Amino acid sequence: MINVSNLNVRFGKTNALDNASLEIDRGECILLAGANGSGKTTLLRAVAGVLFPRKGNISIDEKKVGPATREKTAYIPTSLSFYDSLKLKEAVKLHASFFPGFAYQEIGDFAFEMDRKTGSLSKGEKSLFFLSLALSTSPDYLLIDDVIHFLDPHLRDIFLKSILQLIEEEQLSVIIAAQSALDIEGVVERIVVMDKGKIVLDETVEDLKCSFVRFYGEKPLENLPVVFQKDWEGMKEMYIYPFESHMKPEGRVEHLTLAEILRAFIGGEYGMG
Amino acid sequence: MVWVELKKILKEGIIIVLILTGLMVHIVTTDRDPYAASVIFEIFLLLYASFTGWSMFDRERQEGAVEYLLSMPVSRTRLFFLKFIPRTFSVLLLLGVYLLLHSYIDFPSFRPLSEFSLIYLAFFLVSLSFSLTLKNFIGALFITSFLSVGLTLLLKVINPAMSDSYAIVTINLLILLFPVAFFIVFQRFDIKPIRTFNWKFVTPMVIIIGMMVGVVWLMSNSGWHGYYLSHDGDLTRYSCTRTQIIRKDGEITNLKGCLRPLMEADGSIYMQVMKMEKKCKIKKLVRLDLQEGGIQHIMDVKDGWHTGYGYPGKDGVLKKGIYYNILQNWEKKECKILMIHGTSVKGIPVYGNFYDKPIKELFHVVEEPLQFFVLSHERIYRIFKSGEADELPFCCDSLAVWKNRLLIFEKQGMTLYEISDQLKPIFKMNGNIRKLRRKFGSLLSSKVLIHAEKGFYLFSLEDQSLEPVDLCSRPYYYHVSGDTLHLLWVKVDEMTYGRMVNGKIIKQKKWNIKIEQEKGWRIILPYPSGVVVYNKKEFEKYLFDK
Repeated sequence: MINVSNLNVRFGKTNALDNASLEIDRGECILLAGANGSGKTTLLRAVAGVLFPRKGNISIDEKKVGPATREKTAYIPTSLSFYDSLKLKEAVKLHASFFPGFAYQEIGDFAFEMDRKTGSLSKGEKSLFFLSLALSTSPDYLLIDDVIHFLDPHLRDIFLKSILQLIEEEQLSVIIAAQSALDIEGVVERIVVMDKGKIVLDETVEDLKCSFVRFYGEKPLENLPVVFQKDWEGMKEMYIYPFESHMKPEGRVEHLTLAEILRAFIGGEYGMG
Repeated sequence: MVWVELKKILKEGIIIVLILTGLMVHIVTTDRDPYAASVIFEIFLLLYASFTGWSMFDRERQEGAVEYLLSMPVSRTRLFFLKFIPRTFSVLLLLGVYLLLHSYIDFPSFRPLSEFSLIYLAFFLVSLSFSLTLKNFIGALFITSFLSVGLTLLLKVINPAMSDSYAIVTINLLILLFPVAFFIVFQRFDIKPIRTFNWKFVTPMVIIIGMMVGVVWLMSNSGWHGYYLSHDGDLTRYSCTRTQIIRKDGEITNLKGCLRPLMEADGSIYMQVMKMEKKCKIKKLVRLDLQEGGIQHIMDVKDGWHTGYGYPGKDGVLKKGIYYNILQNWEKKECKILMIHGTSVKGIPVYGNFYDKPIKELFHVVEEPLQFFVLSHERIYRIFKSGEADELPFCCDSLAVWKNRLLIFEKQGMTLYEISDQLKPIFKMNGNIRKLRRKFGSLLSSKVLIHAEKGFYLFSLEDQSLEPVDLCSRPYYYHVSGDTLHLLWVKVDEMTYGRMVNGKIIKQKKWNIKIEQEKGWRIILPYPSGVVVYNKKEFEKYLFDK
């Protein structure tokens, strides 16, 4: 289990993480969502042990983050940081030198030409190569930082299928940081939304879908938790969270897709309530 | 990881080895100045060491692999050593090759090889400390050069008397604190912007620089090279650039220039004005009025000429108001006897069978007939009034002169000569006899304290009497004045002064010595008015009761 408690990270005067707390069980797949600069990458980096928090604790299987936890945690950074001058076979060798039980495995039926240099790979290919390196170490936890959108639909499919398979077979825990839930709605089971370094939402996908609704009506609603509202040709368009079944607003109530809910939460057209 | 690093570094190292070999071959096969080539050669090596250190994380920086590396399951310590070991191996290998070549080929080096090796390793390790902080190599090289070479020069400026080697070793060992600090701060290195790391590194850097300044300050000598205690108990001390007279009441008279006391006479001191360059040079002789602090010029001294050897105020001989000293030019093998009275000076050029190497002489004057005796390196020279010198046909360990008597201590025994045109032996004593050499000031006396067999004796040069003296241990200094024997015993932290008349101690005084030995260095100089104890940093004076 990954346990993050009261994590604080500052970059100068900016709070990159502000008392962030989170628990992730074995076999869980979490989508870490949020606008740019909300602290998703910082949180993943702290869990991966590449960044030291100012305050707070992170433990993985009750061990403080360090070499031992990094052995169990595979991290795919959004920067796809690697030695670009190395050939893929050299990269595999280098990676293997850090992990005693390393056994290189290709992802699905996608085979890389091992004499190519890693710098010559496209971002999508590199993401997949990273995933293959990560999974070759048989990790218990996989941290994926905003690389899904680098992949074309075919590669994305391969990527996600491999993850799903490991979640089912190996009880792999996965945290995927992304700004959109497109294509991964069927994979993730829990949503964590971050804003300005804080965790503002932590729900299972199922609960969130039930409790987040869009309402169209003529009158403004009173005593209901409206996240955001706007006028729409004389009608009120309101987003209500948490919506409970005993609430009976007069008008049309719609349940949303995960992608729509995230758009409502992550600023943009909807903005945060 | 180590192998990947090693391969990369050795590739770079091979280029340097090829340049090195080329230069060597060129030097060996041509008649060009090997010194210039060696300097280029060693600069190349320093550049290589510096670059190898600085580039420790350059690849990660260039290829953006820092985050990848930090996410690997290794501790920061192991990560450091994974990068450090191949580099150290490569740097040491190249140094080894260089030292090996040196052992086979006679090849100059701008510093001794041990010092060069230290500088080379300091360049590597200090540049390594800036491998994360500085993005460009020129900056790292500049700072490293400043720390290694610049600070050494600075230390030399602060303390010119410090030897080059000592300054180099001190500074280059001190700056090794930088890689230590880097290693400590590296334990907290993460993916945050590098300025965050730099801020962490700034604190230990400031502490280290503060420590270095502190150490340099503590190590730097007071700058005072010598002390002299006058007959009235006033202390004169001199540094490279100034001289001070510290009165008994604490009043200080400051004088410009380095004035080294030669001999005190009638309330004034004959002094030599020194100029500190690479070696001390005497520029002129002057006479300092101790009361007023006024300086009278006696004579200029040309480059290459030196007065005799002795502690401050104990240089030369004063007899009947005339101050005698030797002025020598070691390179030209020329010598003059100086006879100074007031500010008038007379020089007697010495010729004949005199020394053939720089002498460290004990200088004695016999007045009737006027002649001079010089003891140097066991040889005794007799110089006549005309300046004619002759080497006496016997060696001696030490000698004493009183009026027309010359007492010579040989390997086994002592012989007293009466001096006229000839040297006539008038007394001889065989056995294991040693004169106690050290005396208070440069005062002359008719008796000498000798150590013969198991006892101490006062031997009179006038009547050849041998008077036993009951001393429990060998005194550090002594002086015979009339019937009184002045004695000084010195232990590590204690000093005892005693006066003895007719074999009985009539006065005894003990002092605890507060000045500690600094690296085995502490001078204890007794003068007729008291004792000065000093090391490179401080001094203390202990005055006798009048």
